[in-house]
Amino acid sequence: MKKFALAGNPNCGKTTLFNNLTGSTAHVGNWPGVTVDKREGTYKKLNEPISIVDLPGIYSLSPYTPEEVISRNFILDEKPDCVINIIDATNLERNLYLTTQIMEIDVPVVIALNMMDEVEKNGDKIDVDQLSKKIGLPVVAISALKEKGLDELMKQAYAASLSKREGATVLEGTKLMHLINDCKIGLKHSGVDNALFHAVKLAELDELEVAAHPDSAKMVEEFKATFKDDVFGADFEAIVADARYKYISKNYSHALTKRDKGKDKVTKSDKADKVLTHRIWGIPIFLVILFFVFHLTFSEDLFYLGKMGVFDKAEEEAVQEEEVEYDSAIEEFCDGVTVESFFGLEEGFYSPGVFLQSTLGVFTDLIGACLSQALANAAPWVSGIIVDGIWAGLASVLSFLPQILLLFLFFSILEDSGYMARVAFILDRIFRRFGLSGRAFMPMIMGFGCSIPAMINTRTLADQNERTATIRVIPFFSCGAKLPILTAIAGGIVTLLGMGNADLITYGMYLLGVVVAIAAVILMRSTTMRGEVPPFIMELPAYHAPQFKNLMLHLWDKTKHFIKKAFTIILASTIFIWFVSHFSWNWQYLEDEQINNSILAGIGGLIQPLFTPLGFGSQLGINGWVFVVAAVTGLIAKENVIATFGTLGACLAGAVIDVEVDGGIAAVSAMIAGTGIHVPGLLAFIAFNMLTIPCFAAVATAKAELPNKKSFRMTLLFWVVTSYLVSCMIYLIGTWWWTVFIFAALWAAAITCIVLYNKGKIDFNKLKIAKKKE
Amino acid sequence: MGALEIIVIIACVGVVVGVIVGTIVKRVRNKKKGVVGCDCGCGCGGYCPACQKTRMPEKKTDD
Repeated sequence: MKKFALAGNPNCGKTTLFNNLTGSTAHVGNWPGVTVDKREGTYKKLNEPISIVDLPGIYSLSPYTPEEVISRNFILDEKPDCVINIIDATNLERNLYLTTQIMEIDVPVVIALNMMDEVEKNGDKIDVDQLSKKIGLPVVAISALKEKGLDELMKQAYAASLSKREGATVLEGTKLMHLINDCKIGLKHSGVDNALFHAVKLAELDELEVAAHPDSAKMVEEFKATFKDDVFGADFEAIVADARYKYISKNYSHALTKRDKGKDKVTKSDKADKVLTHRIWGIPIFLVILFFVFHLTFSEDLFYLGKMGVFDKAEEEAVQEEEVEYDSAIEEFCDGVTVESFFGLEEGFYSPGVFLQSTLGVFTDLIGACLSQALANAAPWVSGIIVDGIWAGLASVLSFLPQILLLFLFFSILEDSGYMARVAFILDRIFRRFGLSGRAFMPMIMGFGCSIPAMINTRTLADQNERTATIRVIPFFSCGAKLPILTAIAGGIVTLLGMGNADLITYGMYLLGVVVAIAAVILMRSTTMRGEVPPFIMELPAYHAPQFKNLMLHLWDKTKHFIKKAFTIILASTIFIWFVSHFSWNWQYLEDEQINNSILAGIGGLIQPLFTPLGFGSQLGINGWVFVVAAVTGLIAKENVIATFGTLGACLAGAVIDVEVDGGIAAVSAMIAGTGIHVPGLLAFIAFNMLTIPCFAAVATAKAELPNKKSFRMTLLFWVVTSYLVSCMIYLIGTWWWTVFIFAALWAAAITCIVLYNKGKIDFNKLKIAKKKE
Repeated sequence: MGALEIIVIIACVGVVVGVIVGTIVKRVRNKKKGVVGCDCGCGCGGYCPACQKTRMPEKKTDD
C-alpha cells in the first residue's frame, strides 16, 4: 500500500485534512501542538487504498523538539511515497520555510495550499500556477475545513508518487553552496540516502548529522574556521535560515497579492483580543466564562431566577401530596412524572444540563420500573442483582452523560474558536512565576477531558522537570470521569442538606483542583524540580466559528466510549460490588438490611479508620464503610465511585433509610441519610477522589511518559499524600473553622523554609552532618 | 433453581470473566505491539493517542 505523509506547520489544518481524507475522528484543536505523535488512516477513493500518516506540526526539520524528531525521522527513514506539505495560505512566507527543507529530501512532494477560503475572505489572492512554477512542485488549493479540493490534492499526490524525485535546494548561489556540494558528494560516495538534505544539515552543524557523519562534520568545522560572514559571522545555521527566507521573499511571495486594507488594518480577531487578552481583565473574563459554562451545565436554578423570587407563586400553589398505594411500579412511576420532573419549575428553572439529565432520568426510571414489575415474582436475589445492583449502578453513571457531554461541548467550542490558545497566552505571565510556561496550560486544559492524552501532550514541553511536574498535576484537573462524583455529591448536598447551589459547588471544586495544582507546581519547581522556564512562543490562531461536524464528532466519540465503558468495566464492577455486598464470609446470601455483615462491609470496615481524619472514616458509624469502598473502586475507573453509590445506595434506601434511589444524586442522598456524613466530609470525599491516584489507564500512561521508575514511584506517592493532606485540611477546617489558623501557620512556616533554603540560608546537608555528630 | 436464576448467574459470571479476560488479552496484545495506555477504556473520546496504532513507548533514561 502506498504511504503518504502529511507534514506542515502547527495549526495549519493537518489533522482536519487527515480526518476528512480517512474518515477518522482524531482530535482537532484550534491551537498549535494538538498532535504530538504520528497517526495513520486509509484513503480509499483512488484506484488503490492509500495509507495516510498525520505527522505532528513542525516549523522546521531541525531536531529541537520531540515532534520535529518524529516528523523528520518518519520522512527520512520510513520513506513515504509522497509528502503532502500543508501550508497555511494566510501565512504563506513562514510556512514555506519548512517547504524549502522538505524539498531537499529525495521524495515526491505536493503542496496543499490550505485555508484558501480564509485568503479569499480576507480579499487576498494567491496565484497557484505561478507559485507551482516557481517552487517546481505541484500546488493544489484546498480548504480542509470545507472539504474543498481534497480529491484533486490526492490525485496530484498519487500522480507524483508514481515517479521518483531528486531533492533540490533554494540555497544555490549562497556562500555555503560550495561546502554543501562537497558534503553531498562525500555522503553520496558513502551510500547515504537523501544526500542533499543531510549535506545542508551538516553545513548547519545539526547535532544529529554531526553524530552520524563525523568525517564530513570535520570538513565543515575546518571550513568554518576560515569563514566569516559580515552579518552572521560563522553561524552557519543562521546563514542558511536567512538565505531561505530571502529566497522565499524574492521568489515565492510574488504569488500573493494582498488587499490594500488602508485604515482597516485591525481585524476582528485583533479587536476581540484587545478585550479577551487584556493584561488585567483577561483572567477575570476567563473565570466568568468558566462560571457560565458550569452554571449552564449544573444549575438547578437558571440565572438564579428562583432565588430572585420569580417562581414564588408556583411554590405557593404547590399542592401537598398525599400518600397513595400503587398496584405496580410502572403506575407509581407514571404518577410521579410531572412537568417539574423535566423543568423544575417549583424553585427555579433547570439549566440545559440539568434539563437533559432530568429527561434522561425519566427514561432510566421507566426502565427501572419496568424491570421491577417484570421481576416482581422472581427470587429476591434475582430482582436485587438486576434492579438494585446492575440497573441502579448503571443508571447512576448514565444519568450524568448529558451533563458531561454538555460541558465538553462548551469546552470544545472554546477550544475550537481559538479562545483557549489566548488563555494559555494570558496565563503564561502567571505560570512563569510558578516555574511553568504557558505551554503547560494546554495539557492541563486537556486534563479536563481525560488525563491520558493530556499527559502525552506534555511532550511539547522541552524541560524534563517542567514536564514531570505537569504530568503530576494533570489528574488534579478534574476529568470527565470524575465529573459524576462532583455533580452527584454537589446535588446530594443541595437536595438533602439544602445548602448552596450545585453549580457553585462543582465550579468551586474544579477551581480547588486548579489551585492545588498551582500550589503543587510551586512547591516542586522551587524545591526538587528546579529548572529553566523556556520562553513561550505560540502563534495565536485567528478566531473562527467552531465547526459543527467537529463538535458533533467529538461528542459522539465521548458518548461511544462512555457507553462502552459503562457496559464493560462498570457493569462488571456493579455485579462484583453487588455480589460481595450481598454475601457473607461464609457464603450466605444477605438481604439488603444485612449488608453490614457482607464481605464488602468487612473489607471496607478494615480500612475505614484510615479515612477518619478525612471525615468519611470511622466517625460515620456502621454504614460508613460505603464511602471508603466507593473511593477504592474509583481506582479502576472513576465512574465506579458513582456506580458503587448507585448499587449500595439502592440497598440502603428502603432497607436502612426511607429514600428512593432513581439516579446518581438520589443514590448519594441515600448514602448521606444512611451514614449521617456532614458537608465537610463530603467535600473532603470529592477532594480525595479528585486528587488521588487516577484510573489504571492514566497511571499506565504516566508510567510510560515519566523519565524513569523512581520518578513514577514518587508520582504515585505524591498523588496519595496530596489527596490525603488536602482532604484532611478541608475536613478539619470545615468542621472546626479555627484550624484554618493552624494550617495558615504551617503553610507560612513551609514557605519560609523554602524561601530560606532557596536563598542558601538553610543547608540540609549541614543539618544532617550536625545530627550525626550529636 | 429456576431457568431465570440460572440465566442470570451465567450472564453475570460471563460479563465479569469476559471483562477481566478481555482487558488482560488487550493489555498483553498492546504490550507486544508496543502500544502504551488504554484501548480505549479511558473515555477520552477517541482522540487519545494511546489508542492509535503507531504509538510507541518513549525511551527511558535509566532503570
